[in-house]
Amino acid sequence: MQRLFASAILALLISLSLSNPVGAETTAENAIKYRHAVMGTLAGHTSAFSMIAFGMVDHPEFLQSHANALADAGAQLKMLFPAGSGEGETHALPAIWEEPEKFAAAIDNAEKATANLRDAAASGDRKTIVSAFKALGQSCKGCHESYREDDDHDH
Amino acid sequence: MRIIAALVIFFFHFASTATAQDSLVARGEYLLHAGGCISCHTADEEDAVPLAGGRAMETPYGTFYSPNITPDDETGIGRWSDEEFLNALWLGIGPDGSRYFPAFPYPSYTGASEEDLLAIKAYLSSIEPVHKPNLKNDLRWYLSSRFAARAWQKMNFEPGRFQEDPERSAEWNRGAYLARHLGHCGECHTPRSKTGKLQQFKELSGNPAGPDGKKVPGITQDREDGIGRWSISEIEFFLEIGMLPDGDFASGAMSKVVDDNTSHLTDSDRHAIAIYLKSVKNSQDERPK
Repeated sequence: MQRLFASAILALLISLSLSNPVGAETTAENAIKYRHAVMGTLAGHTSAFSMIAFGMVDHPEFLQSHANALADAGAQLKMLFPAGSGEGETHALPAIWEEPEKFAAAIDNAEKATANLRDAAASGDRKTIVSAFKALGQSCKGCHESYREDDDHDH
Repeated sequence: MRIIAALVIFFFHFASTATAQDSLVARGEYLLHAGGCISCHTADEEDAVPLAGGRAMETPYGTFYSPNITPDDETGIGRWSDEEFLNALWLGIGPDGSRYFPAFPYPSYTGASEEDLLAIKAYLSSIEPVHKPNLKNDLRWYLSSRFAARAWQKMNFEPGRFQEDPERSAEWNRGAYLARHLGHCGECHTPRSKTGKLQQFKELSGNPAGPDGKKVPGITQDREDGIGRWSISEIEFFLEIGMLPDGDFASGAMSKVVDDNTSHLTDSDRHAIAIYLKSVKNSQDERPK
């Protein structure tokens, strides 16, 4: 009985900790680190996707999973730039917070481009895939051109 | 009957000249992209008219403003002769005899062929003239004299057309011509001496103080400080869509270069550039004695 009680408490604690993994408010430093992590995820899947799509490796069965991962991470983009996360170890430019509407439109465009790539991959049509990939590239590059300082290529 | 024959001949003659002119203009437009003219000669504002100038370029020597190169008679290059155009690009000399500072990359363009430059001029003459007066450069005091650019040229500039290397393939030569001259990659990617001369013995090894004070990465075959790990197809892919092999995308100035220049090139020209870049060793230690 005592053991059952103890494990119930433990289960409760675990579920509590999972439902609220960050107890306190996110610090700017962690917001930046998380942004870099997600951007790195995007880059990794983009690279892997392109290698399959453009025939550099023969793993067509994984194309869709990279596209899905891109769409999932793409949907997070709009949450990656909270106020205050422009200060610190980041190449994010102040324009992000100075022209929020324009930036939101650019982010929205990027999110749509990742969703579009997921659908294109599902279609299996090579031309659709290539043009969706180029469109995604345009939106990545468009944002980086206006909103990321181009000192080397950190995120 | 004769009249009809004459008319037919006249018509065909006229039509073929018109086609020749059209194809010259089309070639010029292609070469204008290859020459990367648009990114600098277009102001930064979103609604800026392409090629009408006004883009500010911050350098250690002051701020340069790119001029209007649309064919407007008053504010553009509408009245320039072919010779004046060639003098500007080959020798850095303006129609009034004044000398240009190398913010205008004529030390690279000097290698371009007459045929290519005049095709670019034909294209520029075909576009809509825009009346937009040029902004005056805002330079350090010691450069404000009109003789400063002349002195700079004396010290640092050697004009001369590109010479093919017969030991190398046609592809390599095409790539060298595009990368060194028309595309002027070295203007940003090659370090400069204190007086602003490109240090060719360190070709493409990166520039700690590039345009707008930014650090420009090296693109030699060095595996750490260059693109030695990139395959030819990865270089081509980057030039076409701006993606680095790790899936990241170019930002800032290079993103513009991809948009306005390299993405417009043919696959074979991008391939030629990649072949050339694969041949550029990191030669920092090979300074001529």
